[in-house]
Amino acid sequence: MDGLHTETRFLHGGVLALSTAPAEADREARFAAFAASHRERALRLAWRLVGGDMAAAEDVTQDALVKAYRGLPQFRDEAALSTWFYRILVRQAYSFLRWRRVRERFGGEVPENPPDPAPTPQSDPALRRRIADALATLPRTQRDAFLLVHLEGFTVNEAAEIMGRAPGTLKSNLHRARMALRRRLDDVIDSRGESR
Amino acid sequence: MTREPELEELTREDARFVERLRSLYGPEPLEGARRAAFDARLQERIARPRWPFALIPAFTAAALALVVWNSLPGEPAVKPAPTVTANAASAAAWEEVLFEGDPTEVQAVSVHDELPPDYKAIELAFFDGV
Repeated sequence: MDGLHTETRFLHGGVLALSTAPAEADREARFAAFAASHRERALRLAWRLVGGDMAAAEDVTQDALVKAYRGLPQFRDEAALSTWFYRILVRQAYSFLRWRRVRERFGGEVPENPPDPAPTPQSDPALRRRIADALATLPRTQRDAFLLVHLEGFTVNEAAEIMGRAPGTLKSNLHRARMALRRRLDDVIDSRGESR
Repeated sequence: MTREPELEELTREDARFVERLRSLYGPEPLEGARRAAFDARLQERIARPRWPFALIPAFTAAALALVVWNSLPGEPAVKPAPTVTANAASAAAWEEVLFEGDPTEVQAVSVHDELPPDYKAIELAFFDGV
């Protein structure tokens, strides 16, 4: 793509900064709209994928958004761009987790879950830890399916496209994930109503 | 992107479990200063000059070529030129002639000494041994 050059800004003090080239302006406008509509969901998904670490979730989301910006000219269709973006996001999250494990192994002790600067008010840290651990025990395909469909609200078809799996396979993964999580968390999450 | 069709397929207990889990396990929405900081950082990263990734294959190929070039056997080692050692006896005779004798004799003696026998015969026949 473009070589060693400075790419123009998409935002300037919170306001879209239009560049002189119409193609660039169009790209920036598209990206600004894309980032605004997907940022929250991407952060939530990244947060859940990395096990409740907000700083890591921000890094992962930033990386995926930067890649989306660079890849924007290849996608005219918003749906295709968004599928591609979430696929990158999931990969970035796993890449982050791999590096964290490497750092832990070779670089001494790294806190597995740094304190979250913005914890959810309704969930206590111990419960969050339990849920994160339960999710971490699932095979990756089951975990991804569960997070994408049940926690993030993607349809089975959208999630299947993001994960590169057949919808039927994904449904079976979802079912197994639900069963496994209920077994592990039924003592803390009462599926009849309240958390215990 | 709605989640209702998938939830409709769940049992009531499964649906409730999923709902509870979603409400308990999620981050706070990014708001205010944190959102501004996030956007500023994203803007800064996008504006940052990109490393020309297209050149990486070229750099790799060049480095590989250099390694291969260096691993090839070099030019054959230059053999030292054979040293000419003077014959000690002949050198001594020359020195004696140079410092004590007649130069014309030196040449004559020298020529006689060095000519092969058949040339000596010719010399004797045509030049009377001069």
